[in-house]
Amino acid sequence: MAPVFGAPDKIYADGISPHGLPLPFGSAGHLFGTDSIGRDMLARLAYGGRTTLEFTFISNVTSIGLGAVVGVTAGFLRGWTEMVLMRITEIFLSVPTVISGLALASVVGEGVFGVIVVVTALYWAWTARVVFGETLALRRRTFVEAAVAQGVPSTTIMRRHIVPHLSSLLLVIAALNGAAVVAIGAGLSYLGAGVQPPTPEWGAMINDGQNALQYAPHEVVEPLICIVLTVLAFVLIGDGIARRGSVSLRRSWLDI
Amino acid sequence: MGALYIAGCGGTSQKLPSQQSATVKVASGIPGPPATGGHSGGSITIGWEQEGNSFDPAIGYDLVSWDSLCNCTTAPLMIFGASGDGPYPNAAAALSATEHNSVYTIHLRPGVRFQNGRRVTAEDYVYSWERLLDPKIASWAASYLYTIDGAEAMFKRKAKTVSGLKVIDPMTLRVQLQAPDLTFPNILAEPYTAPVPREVVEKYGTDFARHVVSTGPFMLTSYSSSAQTCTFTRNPYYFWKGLPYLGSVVYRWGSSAQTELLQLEHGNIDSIGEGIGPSLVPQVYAQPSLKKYVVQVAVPGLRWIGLNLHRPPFTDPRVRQALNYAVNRTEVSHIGYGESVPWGLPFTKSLPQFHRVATEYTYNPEKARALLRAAGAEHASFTLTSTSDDPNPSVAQVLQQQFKAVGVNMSIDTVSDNAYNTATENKNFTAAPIVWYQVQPTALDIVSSNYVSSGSANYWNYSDPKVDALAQRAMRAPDTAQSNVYLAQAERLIAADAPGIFLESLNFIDGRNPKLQNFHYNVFYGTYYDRLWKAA
Repeated sequence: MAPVFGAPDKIYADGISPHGLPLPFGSAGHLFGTDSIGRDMLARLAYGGRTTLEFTFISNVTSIGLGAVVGVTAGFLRGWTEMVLMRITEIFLSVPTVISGLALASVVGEGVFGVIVVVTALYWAWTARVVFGETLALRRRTFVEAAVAQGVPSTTIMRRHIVPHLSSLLLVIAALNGAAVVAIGAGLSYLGAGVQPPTPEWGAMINDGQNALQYAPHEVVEPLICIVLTVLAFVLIGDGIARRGSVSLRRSWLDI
Repeated sequence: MGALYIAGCGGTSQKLPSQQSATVKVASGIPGPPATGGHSGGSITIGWEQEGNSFDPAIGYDLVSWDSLCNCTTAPLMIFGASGDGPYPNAAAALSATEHNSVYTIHLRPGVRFQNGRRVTAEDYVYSWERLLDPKIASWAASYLYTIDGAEAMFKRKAKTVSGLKVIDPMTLRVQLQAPDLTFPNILAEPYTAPVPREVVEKYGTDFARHVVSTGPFMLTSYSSSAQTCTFTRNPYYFWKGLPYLGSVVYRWGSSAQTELLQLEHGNIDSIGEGIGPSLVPQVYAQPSLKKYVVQVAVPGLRWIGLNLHRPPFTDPRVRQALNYAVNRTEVSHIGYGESVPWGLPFTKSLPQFHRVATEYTYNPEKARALLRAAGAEHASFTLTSTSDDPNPSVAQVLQQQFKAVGVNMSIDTVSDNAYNTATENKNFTAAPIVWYQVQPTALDIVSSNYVSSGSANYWNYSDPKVDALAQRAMRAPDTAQSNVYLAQAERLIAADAPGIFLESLNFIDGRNPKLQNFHYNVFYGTYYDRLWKAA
């Protein structure tokens, strides 16, 4: 869809007023106005949405995948495995997200790849913790105990009897995690540690426009609205899935 | 052959404003107080974004410190005129040069006192300059004095005193240079060559910066890092009698550029120290109510992209030339509307008595593509190491698109100011944006720092023996006109080699309270505080 709205990096000769000001919202030819160097805001917002959904989807898969493996393994195997994995999980849970995200980004590098690595590193532990608790409950269910008694290998039990029962929980986690990833990704880009120019990204667009807040508020307000609506959409999706199932885990996932 | 700089006994004399009866005397060649109007007393507040690095004349170099040194605490021997002309005698009564500008005799102005009341003698200059050259002080400005015979030896711990400094009598100092140097009087107009009293330096040691004493119009009377403010109070011993008018100058720091503009508009501050930031300039010009706060001054400043000539793709001069042709400078200058004008050469646009022989780079994407093809670099790529300082992010993104249009991919690595400084000083970068404000009215200021092989700011690994030779000849030339002939040739060579992507000549957009009277801006020093006052 994004290409329909035009090129996001093109600097338009008519994109700046004779006084050097960006065009405001509702301008002819640039419905959402232009930014401080004359690029079309609508095109940048559309491409920014693409970037956001891209890193949100990938980092959701990686962080939830890693968290699920750790949670299921610790919850099913118990003993030393549980102690080691869950202590590591707790260490990651105690790390302040934004500060360590900035530090990590400086090590792994910036850009979409950097955001994915940072989000995965910072968010897998939340999934692991929840999945661990759910696995403990499933571990005591009779069909699992029966499989253990019959000598079915642990990996098979986890794959065939535990994970399928976690699917609705993981969907809720994915939706709520998505909301957090959108926000943290935008935050990192706003702070200069996330997606880098010329790739349009909402957080980076807010950063670009913050100096123009007084005379061109649309540069900040438009990407901000996009972030808010996207986060809200993910939360509502998660809420909807949770209402259909039996789990509700919303609150902790918005804690960024 | 020699030169003579004379101020007469007291410079020019003008009648003080009507409320005062004495006659005020100031240096020739700089804007003086008017014959009528105005009054003594009052206070002004200058807003800054950050705290200065040091108010010690030997150490301070950032914008805040530079302003405090140039306009409050020090009064060097010489002084530049508002547009960068001169220098003219200030704390010196006269300066004479003999033996082809290799020996200078400085006659001190009678009646010059430190802010603690003690008379200044030639010995104080010897002490202050040897202190500047003390390796323990590690002054950024030490190399400016290397031109004096024995100065470099002292800095390198090979001598305990500077052999080229000789006190003839308490009011006369003779300076022997290593070689003829036309620019030496310019050095005497820099605040780091102003005298400091030994007894005060020894009393406060490393804390001298918070208790600085020199000969300027205002003395530092309070400093609070935690409250983010300091106050400079009128110096009763200032040698230009009748000045300064103001009772005090207050610095306040810690606000953003946007907040400073609001503070100015609401009368909380009287001047924005750093000037109005490029991203705020369009707002100021578009908003009629703000126009009265703006003073635009063309300063000898440049913005360019410095290139590391030891790193590909910039090892090939054709690539560097291509990128100079790929830049649409008009588009770049739109970013800070009024803050800059397009300029495609390595030396500042306005240089006195300078006849250019270099050809300016202009936008020519076809030529850029042809040069890239010839260099086999049609799809070259490199990384720009930049900071988030206004307007670097915007300039970088505009250039990114312009280079992309000729097939060159530039990625942007935005780092902290410290990381940027470390990268450039260690030459650990491929390309980096540079802003350079000249502090002398000669292009030698730029060429000797940036383009001479041993230049202290030559982060580009640029080396051309012809440029080195021309810079040396320019320094040893008998007069400015001849010096500029050599410098013009040097500019032509540097432009052809293109060790940078030359972008803009800068303007300073000052934001100041329109109630400030007799407001003058010096292109090297900033606002002259000693001669302005605030209307009721």
